[in-house]
Parts: sequence; structure tokens; C-alpha cells
Amino acid sequence: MNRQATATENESEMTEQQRLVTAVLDQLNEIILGKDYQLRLALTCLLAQGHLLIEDLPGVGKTTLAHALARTLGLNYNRIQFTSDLLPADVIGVSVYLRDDNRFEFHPGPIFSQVVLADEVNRATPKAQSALLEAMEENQVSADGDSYPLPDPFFVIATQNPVTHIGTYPLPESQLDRFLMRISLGFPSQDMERRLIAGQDRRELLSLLEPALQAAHLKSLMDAVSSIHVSDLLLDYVQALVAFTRESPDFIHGLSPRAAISIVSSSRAWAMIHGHPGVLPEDVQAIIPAVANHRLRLRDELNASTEPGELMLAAVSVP
Amino acid sequence: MTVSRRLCEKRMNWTLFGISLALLPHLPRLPMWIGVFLVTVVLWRWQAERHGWSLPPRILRFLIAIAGFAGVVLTYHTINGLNAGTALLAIMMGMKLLETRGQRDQMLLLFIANFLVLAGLLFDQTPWTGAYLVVSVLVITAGLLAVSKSGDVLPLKLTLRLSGRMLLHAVPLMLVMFLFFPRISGPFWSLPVLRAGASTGLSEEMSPGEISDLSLSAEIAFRAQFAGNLPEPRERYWRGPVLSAFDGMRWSVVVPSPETATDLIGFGGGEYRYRVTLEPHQKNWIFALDLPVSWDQRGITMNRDLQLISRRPIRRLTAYNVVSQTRFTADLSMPQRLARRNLRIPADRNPKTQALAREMLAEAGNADLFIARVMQMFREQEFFYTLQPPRTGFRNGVDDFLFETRQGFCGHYASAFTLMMRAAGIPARVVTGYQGGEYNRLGDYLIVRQADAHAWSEVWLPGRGWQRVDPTAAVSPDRILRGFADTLPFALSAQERFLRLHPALIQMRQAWDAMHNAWNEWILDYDLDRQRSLLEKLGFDKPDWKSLAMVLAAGLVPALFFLGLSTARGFRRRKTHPADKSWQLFCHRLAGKDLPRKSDEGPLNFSRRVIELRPDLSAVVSEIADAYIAIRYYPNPGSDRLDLLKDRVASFRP
Repeated sequence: MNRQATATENESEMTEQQRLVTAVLDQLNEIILGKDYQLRLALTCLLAQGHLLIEDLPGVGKTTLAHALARTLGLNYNRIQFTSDLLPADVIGVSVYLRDDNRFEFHPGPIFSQVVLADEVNRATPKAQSALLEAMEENQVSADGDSYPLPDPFFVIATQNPVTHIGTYPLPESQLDRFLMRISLGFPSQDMERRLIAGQDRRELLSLLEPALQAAHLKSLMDAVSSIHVSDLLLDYVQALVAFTRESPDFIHGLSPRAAISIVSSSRAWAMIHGHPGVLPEDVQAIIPAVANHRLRLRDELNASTEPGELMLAAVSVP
Repeated sequence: MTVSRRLCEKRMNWTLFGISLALLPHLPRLPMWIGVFLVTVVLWRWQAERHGWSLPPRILRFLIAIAGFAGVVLTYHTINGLNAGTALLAIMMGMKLLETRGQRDQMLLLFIANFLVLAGLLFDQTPWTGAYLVVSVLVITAGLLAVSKSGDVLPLKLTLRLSGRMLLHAVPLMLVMFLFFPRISGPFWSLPVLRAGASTGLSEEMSPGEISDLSLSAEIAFRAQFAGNLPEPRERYWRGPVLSAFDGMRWSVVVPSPETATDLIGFGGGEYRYRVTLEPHQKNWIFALDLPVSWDQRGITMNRDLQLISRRPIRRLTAYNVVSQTRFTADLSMPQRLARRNLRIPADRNPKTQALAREMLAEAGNADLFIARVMQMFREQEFFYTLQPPRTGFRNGVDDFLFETRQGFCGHYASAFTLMMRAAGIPARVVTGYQGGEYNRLGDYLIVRQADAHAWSEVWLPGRGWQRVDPTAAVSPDRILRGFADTLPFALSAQERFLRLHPALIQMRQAWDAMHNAWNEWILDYDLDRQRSLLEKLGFDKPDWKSLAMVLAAGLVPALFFLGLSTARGFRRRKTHPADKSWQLFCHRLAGKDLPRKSDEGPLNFSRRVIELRPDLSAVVSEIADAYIAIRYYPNPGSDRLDLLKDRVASFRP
């Protein structure tokens, strides 16, 4: 009797969270047309408290997506346009000497914000990139021997051009690993592109955007994510997937334990968004491409017709 | 299509690589025509695969096969035996290459390649061959991996690594088999022995006057490991064939009567115990420090000339333990026949030498003084030790040497000295063998090389028996005390000189030789006796085949067990959850209706697909899927769900 009561209680709670999630997704869908899957992934990433890397050609709406996410979630945000002459101080801030008080004062940089939009992150030099990536890793900024905590929640949404473009400094693999997910948007379908061209300017729409969530809402959604059940059977599946990447000769190296943790936490968030009280294999499958593709490299990259994620999923059977 | 052509080519390249490695060491041993045939076939097949040429028709292959067979019979007059058998195997491999089409044929070829590699070991068992064998087996296994794989061939490095790992897995098994597989001594089990092969080193004859340039070979004659002290350099005379017959120019062996002379020998002084590892030299001679007292092999006897003789020619590495005493008296009383033989000289040859001997004996008065005078002559007059002596005349070779050229090596001096003794009526003979030996500090043994070959004299004196006299020691004491290399550095080959340039090089060489020696000692010479003593150390009282079987089983069973365990880990079967049983049954029933679950399809997606395709089943399918998901993936499913699932699946008839 008791158990059933908690179950119904859970369900009603679920619906409350469902309502919030639906509101967020609806609003995002208004801005970014025809990219429901990518939007869900982006939301999943933030709810799993991971940083997001959006990689695509210029002009497909990367920056717009990042803006829309920040506004919809009701978070304050700063945008840093990465350029080749960007300095670390431009990201984390500078210490300024105050002559009257005979001391230094730290002027926080744009990174002190709940959402940081690192636009075209691979245009900056590795030095500037690592200033950002170190902050992401440690959730604090060290300057002149003092450390300054970053706000909570703290998300980095970075966008980058495909590495093959000229004038880019590709992020090294170890730094790519700090992004929970990497997604790409791709060109919109014909219908959607028509609506996009005919409709209002996206930037204007953005400025009209009202937050769909309060700070407390976001917190409750994140709590809900961490309470999603992960069964042994599912862990078997995740382990089998990871083991495959390590054993298969198709990959140069397999996924790290950190990547395995990322898979589970992303799957939890995805399951929460879709109203599953526990993680299903389908949830794992949905997030694998976004979580695994930037962490794996195929041995025979040039001839590969499939992405690493697809390869994993096709090769490992669901228990 | 082109992709699959590429794949076939890759596989064929692996196959050709593997069999080429296996064939390579055999090529120098095989007759020319087989070598040409094999190289042609391999190169042709390589090109044929690249350009998609068609294979020769059946009738042509048949003719080539007949010709190859006939060729082997004509070359070897048999198809039996190691040489002919290997040739036949190699030819058949070439033949197979002409009709190889698929993966199966290629695998067969690689298996034959393994056989050929093994056959190579029957010819030659040096560490080089061992190392080459490991490399070729590694490549052949990699080839098997590449050829047997269904998909694309993996990159070279990866395939080799996989193959290496497989071989490593086999190592424990190999060790157990090597140590404990019963080594039955018998003609059937032992390695076949090669009849051919030129003998190097000493021979039954010595004719120093005919040689104008003696080259020093660094080839190893034998190694000797001493228990306890090493003999002094001047005591390191290794006795070999005794040359008693002289025709004025050439000394040769008189086949001695087989009777043993042990009862004629008396010993005194310190004794040396050592183990000799003798390199094959195709003769029956067994070398031992002058003079051996006892030895541990039944096949070895001592002949009337005090030389050790093996019953069978030494055609493979042979090890034996010997005890020697460097001070001895032998043949205190000599039979007339033997005395006559050791006095015989052609009266009309070398008259000046004979006259000189008689004159010196008359001056000296007694034999001892005479010998001393002759030695003094060699020491004090202008005699030179050289490996490039001028040639002497044939008729009076010793005269020419003693009175004109006065340059020679040990053979000249031993020859002249012995002739003078005989001319003076003292029984004397030439003894050949080795003198010296390089001490290997690392392995604690003496290496005796062909370059250490030596000849000295023995004279028989009444009351004292045979006494060793080495005239070379009078001319060039260094030769005896410090060895060849230090006496005549320029007589060495360029390579040999280089190896002695620096102490580090000498050490390197010694380390290499110590390794070689260990290989001989522990790998090649591991025989029935050593196996037995190992078993005794393991605590078996009287080891027989039963204890061997026990140890073998005790070693093999765990090795195989763990190997099997690690292989089986991939197929580990777990206790199936009851919900999984029902779910599998559900999937099975749907598969029967052409709705199989894809391997990467989760329960949610699968049930949705089924409902889409079979809307009539929607209610029950979603009920089953929900229950299964709740049980296996969701928290707190409740026991009633399982009952529901079982019930629904049991009655599920799509």
C-alpha cells in the first residue's frame, strides 16, 4: 500500500517536472525550428550539469541556440567572442592596482556568469582556450594567488567551427573531454528553412524571450535528474558499450571511465526529460552520439562512413 | 567490387609474406631449380592478385606437379629423408599457390608454412634459427589472423600485436611441454642427422710444407667448463688425432688398434674436472685435455694412441664430462710393433736432417741431452714462427725447412722435430689437437676455436714412456702462453682483428658467446638425463614415465584451464533473471511472426515498432513491455509486475 502511494506521489511530481520541461522545450522550439532532438540534447546536457559544445558551420544557429538556452532557463549570461588575439585576462578578469588604497582589486571577467557563451572557441589561441577550460574543470578562477568561485549553476556553452576550417586551433582531446556533449545542428529541412526565412528575425525574437524557469525550478529539475534510477541491467549495457570501444580495433583508444560516468549522467537527464523513472537502453542510445563522438577517434577516419557512436550502438546488443 | 578485390589482395599479400619468410631459410639448401621455381611462383602470384590475372588451367598445374615430383626424384634419388622431403614440401607449397583462391586455401598455405619453419629447425639449431623461427611464426600467425577474419584486414601493427599476444599465451604451455614431455632416446625420436657437410678443423693428415698461407678460423671447436681451477695456459693441450706415419713430407694417422691403453697409464699430479660441449665436426674424435682419465659417455673409448674416440661421428652438438690429469706416464713398455712404427722414416728423403740428427746425438751422447740440444737449436737459431711460410720442396721438405726457409708454424716444427727424433732412433710421433683457449669470464668457460689448432710431438723414452715435447714452444713461447691471437695479430682476419680492437668489443663478444653457450647447454642439450635430474630435484625418487606424465598433467591442466577460462570469459553465462526469460520468450514469439527484435533495439523502441506494425496487439504488447521495463529498469517494481509479465507472455500468441 505504502509503496503504491509513493509511486503515485512520484508520478505527480513527474508531471510537474514534465510540465516545466515541456515549457522549456516549446519555447526553444519557437526559436530554433525543426531541431527538437538537438534541443533536447542541449537541455539534457545542462540538466546533467555538463558543458556543451556546439560544432557546426557558421550561420546555422549555434549562437542563437546558446542565447535561447540561457534566456529560457532564466540564467544570467555573458558572451565571449573568441578571437585569435583574445587573452586569458579577457576571459577570467584582471587585477587592477588601486593607488589610493595601495592594493590590487580583482575585476571579474565575463566568465563570472551562470551561462557563458564561448563563441567560436577554436578561433582563440590555446592559451586563451585553456583559461576557459580550466575554469570549467575547477569551477573557480585563480588570479594572483586568490581563487574566486564561479556562480552556481555554471554552464559553458561553447560553439566552434568544424576543425577543418582555416584559422582554427582545434581543441586537444583532453580538453574536448571536459565537454559533456558535443552536438551539431545541421541545415534545417526545407519547410523549416522556409518558415525561418519568411518569419521574424531570430535576434528580435530572442530579445522578447521570457524565462520559462525560475531558479528554484531549475534546481528541482536537477534534483530530479539525480534521483533517476539506474538498474544493474542498464549498467551492464553501458559497460558493454564502453568495453566495446576498448576492445574493438576500429578505435584508436577506448572511452575513459570519465566518459562512462558521463554516459550514465546524461542518460539520467534524458530519462528525466522523457518522464522515465529509470534509465532505459533507449535513453542511453539517444545520448551516445552526443557524448561519445567527440571522445573517440576511428582508426580509419578517412574511409569511415559511420560515426563512432553509431558503430558502438550497432555492435553492442541490448541486454 | 573494387573494394573486395583490394581485400583479396591484402589477404594474399599476408599469405605471401608468411610463406616467403618460411621459405627463405630453405632456399640456400634447396637445389637451384626449386629456388627459381618458388621465387617465380611467389612473384607471379603477387602480380596476378594485383592485376586480376587468371590462374593456370588444371592441365598445366598437373604437368607442373608431375615435373616437380620427377625433379625431386632425379635430384635426390628418393622422396624420403629430410632434404628430399623438405624440397617436396616446398614445391607442393608453390603448387598450392597456383590454385589458391579463397581464404581456406590461404589458411592451408600458412599452415604448411608453419611446417616448413619447423623443418628448418631440423637442419640447424643455433639461437639465430630460434630467433628467426619466432619472427616467422609471429608473422605466419598474424597472416592466419588476417586471412581468417571475415571483414577488412586490420592494420599491420595491430595484427602483429594480436599475433604476439597469442604466442605469449602459448608460452607457459610450451615451457611445460619442453621441460616435461618424455624424451625417449632412440633413433626414431631424435633429430635426423645430416650426412653431408664438410669437416673443418683437424684432419687425418698433416703436410706443413704444402701450405703457404694458413688462415685462422674463429669458428668454435668446443667449449669447456671447469669445475674448480682452470689449467695453466701451458697445460692446455687438447689431444686429438695422433699422426704416426711419415712418407718424407706428409704425416698421417695409422688406424690404431681399438684396444684401450688405460692399464698402461700412470698418473700423478692434479686433476681437472670439466664438461666439454663439442661442436659437430663430422669425425669420431673427442677432444680432451691431455690426458683424460675418465669420462661419462659409454660411446667413447680411448684408442691405442691415447686419443678419445666416439663410436659415432660427431654430427650434432655433443656434451661430455671428462676428468683429466696433465701429468701422466703412458706405455712404459712398448711393444716392438709399436716401436717400429714410430721409428719408421723413408731413408732416402731429407738426408740432411737425418745426418744432422745423428751428428747431434753423437755429440750429446744420450737421448735427454739430445732432445735438449734440438730444442736449443730451435730456440737459439734463426727460426721464425709464421703462418705464411715459404713453400718447401716436396722430396726433401724438412731439409728445405731446417736449412733454408726456417719459417713455419707448429706443423713445421713438430714435423722436423719428430723426424730428427726418429732419425736418432728415438720413437716419436706427431700429436695434433688444440692448444690454448680463451677464457670467457661471463660464462666461466674456455672457448677453443679452430684457430687454436696445434701440433706437437711425443717422444718415447725408456722408463718414462711417452713424453710431450712441443718445439713450437721453443720457437715462439708466446704461442703457448698467450695464444694465437696475441702472437700473430696480423694473421687474423679483418673481422677478427676488429673484434679485438677494444676491451668492450671483446666483452661483447664474450657475452654473446656465453649466451650461445647457455642456449647449447639449456635448450639443445636438455636431454633425458637432465630431465631426470630436474624431476629428482622436484622430489621424485626414481623418475619414470609415470612421474613425467604426472608433472606434465599437473603443468598442462592448469595452463589449459586458465587459457580456457580467459577465453570463456567472453561467453560467460549468468543466471537469467525470470523477467528476462519471459521477455526472451516474447521476442522469440514475435520473431516467429517475422518481427524479430534487432540486437540494438531496446524494449521501448521494440514494442513501439511492433505496435506500429501490428496495431491489433497494441494493448498486450504495451502491457508486456511496460511490465518488463518496470521490472528491469525502474525502481521498486513490485512483485505483482513479474506475475503479470509471466502471465501475459504465457498466453501471448501473436
